[in-house]
Amino acid sequence: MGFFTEKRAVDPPHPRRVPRLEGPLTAEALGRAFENCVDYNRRAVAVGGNEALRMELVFLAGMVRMERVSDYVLRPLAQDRELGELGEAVAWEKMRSGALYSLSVTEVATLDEAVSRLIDGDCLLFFPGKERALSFNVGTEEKRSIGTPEDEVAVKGPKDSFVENLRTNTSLTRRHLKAPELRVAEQTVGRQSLTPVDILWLDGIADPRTVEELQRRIEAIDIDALLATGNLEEYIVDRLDTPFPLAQSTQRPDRFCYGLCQGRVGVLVEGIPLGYLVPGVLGDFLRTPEDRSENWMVAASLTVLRWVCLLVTLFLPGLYVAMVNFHPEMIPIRLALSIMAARRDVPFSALFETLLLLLAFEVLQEAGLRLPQSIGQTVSILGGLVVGSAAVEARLISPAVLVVVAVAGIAGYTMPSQDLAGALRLWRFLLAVLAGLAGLFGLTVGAAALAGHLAGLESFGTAYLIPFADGEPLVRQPLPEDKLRPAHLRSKNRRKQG
Amino acid sequence: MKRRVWAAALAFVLLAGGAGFLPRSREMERLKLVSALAVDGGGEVSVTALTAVRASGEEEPETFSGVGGSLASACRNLRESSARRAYLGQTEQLLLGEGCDLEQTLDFVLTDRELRMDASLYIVKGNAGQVLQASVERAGEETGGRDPRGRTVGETLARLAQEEYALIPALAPGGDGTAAPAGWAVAGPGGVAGYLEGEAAVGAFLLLGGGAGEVVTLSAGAAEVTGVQIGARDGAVKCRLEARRVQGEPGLKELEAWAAANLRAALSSGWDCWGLDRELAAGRPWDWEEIRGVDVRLLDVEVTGRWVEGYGP
Repeated sequence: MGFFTEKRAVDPPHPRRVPRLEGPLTAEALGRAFENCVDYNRRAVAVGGNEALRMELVFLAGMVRMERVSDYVLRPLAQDRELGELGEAVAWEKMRSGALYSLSVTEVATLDEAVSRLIDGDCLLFFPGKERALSFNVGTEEKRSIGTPEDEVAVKGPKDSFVENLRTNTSLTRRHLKAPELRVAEQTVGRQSLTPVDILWLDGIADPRTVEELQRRIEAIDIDALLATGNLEEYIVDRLDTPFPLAQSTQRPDRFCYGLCQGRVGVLVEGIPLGYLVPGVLGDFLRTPEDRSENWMVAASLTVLRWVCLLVTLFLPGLYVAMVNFHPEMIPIRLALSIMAARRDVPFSALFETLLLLLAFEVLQEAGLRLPQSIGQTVSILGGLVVGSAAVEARLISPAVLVVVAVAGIAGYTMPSQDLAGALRLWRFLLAVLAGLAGLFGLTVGAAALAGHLAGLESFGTAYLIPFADGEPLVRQPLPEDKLRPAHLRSKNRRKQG
Repeated sequence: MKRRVWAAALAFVLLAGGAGFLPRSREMERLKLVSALAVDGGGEVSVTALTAVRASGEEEPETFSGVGGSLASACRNLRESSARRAYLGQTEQLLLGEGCDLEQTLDFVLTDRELRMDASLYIVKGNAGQVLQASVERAGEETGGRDPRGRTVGETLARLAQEEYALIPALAPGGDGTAAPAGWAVAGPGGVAGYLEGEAAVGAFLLLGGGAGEVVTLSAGAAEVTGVQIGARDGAVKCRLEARRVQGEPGLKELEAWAAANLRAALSSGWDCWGLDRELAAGRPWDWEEIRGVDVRLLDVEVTGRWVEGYGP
C-alpha cells in the first residue's frame, strides 16, 4: 500500500458459526466440547441413593464455588430419598421448581447455551437420555474489592471505584442512581472472549438516537476478544484519525452517574474497571468530578487555569523555538540576554534541543510508568534531576529550554484526562516542528490546522468544540443556577432541577 | 484523497522554504543584541551601535560602527561588521546627531524589518556616535532602563505625519563626554526646528503631563510634584497641580507661580508640540478651522495647586 495509492480493501471476515457447537445437548457432547480441559468436571450422582436414577453433574472448577455445589446441589440430591423415589419426569419437574437450593434454575436445551452457562459459573445437571439439562447458579464471586480510584483521586467526594466485575459496576451505578428509569442493556462482544458489554442510560433523559447508535456500533464489533479498553473505544468513536479522545472514560461511579443524569449514555465492560460516557466533547475532558464538590468560584478558576495550561502545554515549546530562532525582538531584552548567555556553548539548534528534551521527557515518563512505583520514582529523580542538571552543566542543553519543556510538561499534567494529555503531547511536537520551520507563521498555521481538526471532530453527532459553538458556559456556575442539561445532549427533558 | 492533500501541503512547505518564502531562522547566540544605535549624518551616514549585556554577566558592552552612503547601507555594513551579526530588533534607544536627516531616519525605522517603532528617540547636540562611545561603561549597568522623558519613534512619527511639532528629548555631551539631558528638541515637518531649554524645558514636560517626582525649591521649603493634569479650554491652558510638602512649609501660591512661569516659557516658543489646538477645539468643534494652528503664545495660563498627603507618587 503506497502513500499515493488508495487503501486496499481488507478481506471480509469468515462468517460466524451459528450455532457454534452442533448436535444434541448431552453430557457426552459437552465433554467433547471441553476435551483436554482439566478444569472440566463430571460427577455421577444417584438421586436419593436410588442407583436406578443416576444423574450427571457438570461444572468448571474455579468458576463455581465448591461449597455451594456440595451443600445446595449435591447434598439434597444425594440425601432426599423422596426425590429418588419419584419418576424421572416428576423429579425433573420438582428440581426445576425448587427442590434444589439455588437462586436461579434454568432449563437449557442447546450446547451453546450449556457451554455459556458453565463458563458463567453454573453447574449443569443431566438426566440420562434427556437432551436437556438444568442449570444452577453456583458461581464464585471472587473479585477485586471496591477500592479508591487511583487515577482520579477523590479529595472531597465518594471514594469508590469501578472494578473488573461488570455486575459490581452496574450495582455501583444502581446504588448512586436508584431511579427505575435506569436502563441496562447487554450485548456480547468478542468471538473468543464473549465479553458482556452493558449500555446504561436514563430513560426519558438520554437521547434515544444516541442509545440506538451506540448499540448499533457495539453490535457491529466483530473481534476475537475484548480485553483492552481500545478494543471498545476505537470501535465506537466516530473517527480514528485523531489523537483526541471522543469517548470519556472514568473510574469513578459518581462521575459516571452524573454523566448519565446529564443525558449521556454509559458503557460498562466485563473485565475493564472503567465506565465510558458518550458523547465526549472537549469541555468534558477539562472538568473533574471535584469541580462540583468545591466552591463554584474556586472550581471556575481552576477550570480557567486548566484551559490556560492546555494552551501552555501545546504552544510553549513552539513559541520558544519561534521566538528564539525567528523573532528575538519579541523577547524582553533582559530575558533575551539571559537566553543568549545560556545558549552560548550549547552545540545544538534551539529546535533540535527542544525536540530532544521533549523526547527525553516522554521517555522518562514512559519509563516511570512502566516500572514498579518505587523504581519509577528513582528513574524520575535520576532522569529529571541528575541527568537534567548534568546535561545543563555539560552545556549539552540550555537551562532555558529545560525550563520551557518542564513548564510545558507540568502544565500537561493538569489535564484531568490522560487521553487528552496524550493528544496534546503529540500536537506539541508537531507545533514545535512547524515553529522551527517558519517561526510564528508556522506556529499559526499549526494552530489553525489544530482548530480546523478539532472543529471537524464529532462525537455521536455532537461537535467536539461544542462549548465554543453553542454558548454553553466553559466553567461551572453556582449549582442552584445550573438548571438545564446541556443542549448538545439533545435530552427530551432538559430541566434538571426546580 | 486526504493523503494527497497532506502530500501537497508538505511539498508546498518544502518548496516555499527552499525558495525563501518562509522566514529564515537565526540562532540567537550568534547574534549581537544592539541596545542603542547612534546615527550621524552629513556627507556619509555613520551608525554606531552599543551592544546589550547582562548587568551581572562577565561580558563588557562594546560599540562598533558602520559607514555608508545612506542609512540603509551603513546599517548593512554595521550588521556584517563582525562574525556575530548585529541584531537591531532589540534597539531601545535611537540617538540622532545634529546633522542627521530626521525625516529619512524615521522613514528608515518605519520600513526596516528589525528596528522597532517603540525605540526611544533622542536628539544629540553634537556627534551621537561619540556620545554613545563615551557612555559604554555606564551602559553596561543600565541596559534595559526606561527614560520617563522618552518619546518613541512611533509617537514622533504620528505627530509629524499630521504636520505637527513633536518633542524629542535632547542630549548633549557632558563633562566626561557621556550624554546628559539638555532639554527638548522640537521636531517639525522640516526637521529639528529648535530647542526648549531651562524653564521652557520644564514647562514643556509639564505640558506633556510629566513632572511627577520633580522637587521644587521654594522660599519657605520644598515641594514634590505628585501629579499634573493639563487641559486647554476657553483660550487658556489649565493646569491642575498636585504636590506634597517635603521640606518646611512651602506656599501653594508660590508653587502655582513656579508652574505658571514654566508653562508660559514653554508656550512662548510658539511651537504647539502638545496638540493644544485640538484640545481647544474639543469644546468648540464648529470653530475648528479658526482654532487650528492657534498661536500658543496668546493662550492664558491658569494653574490650580493642591497639597496631597500620603505616600503616593
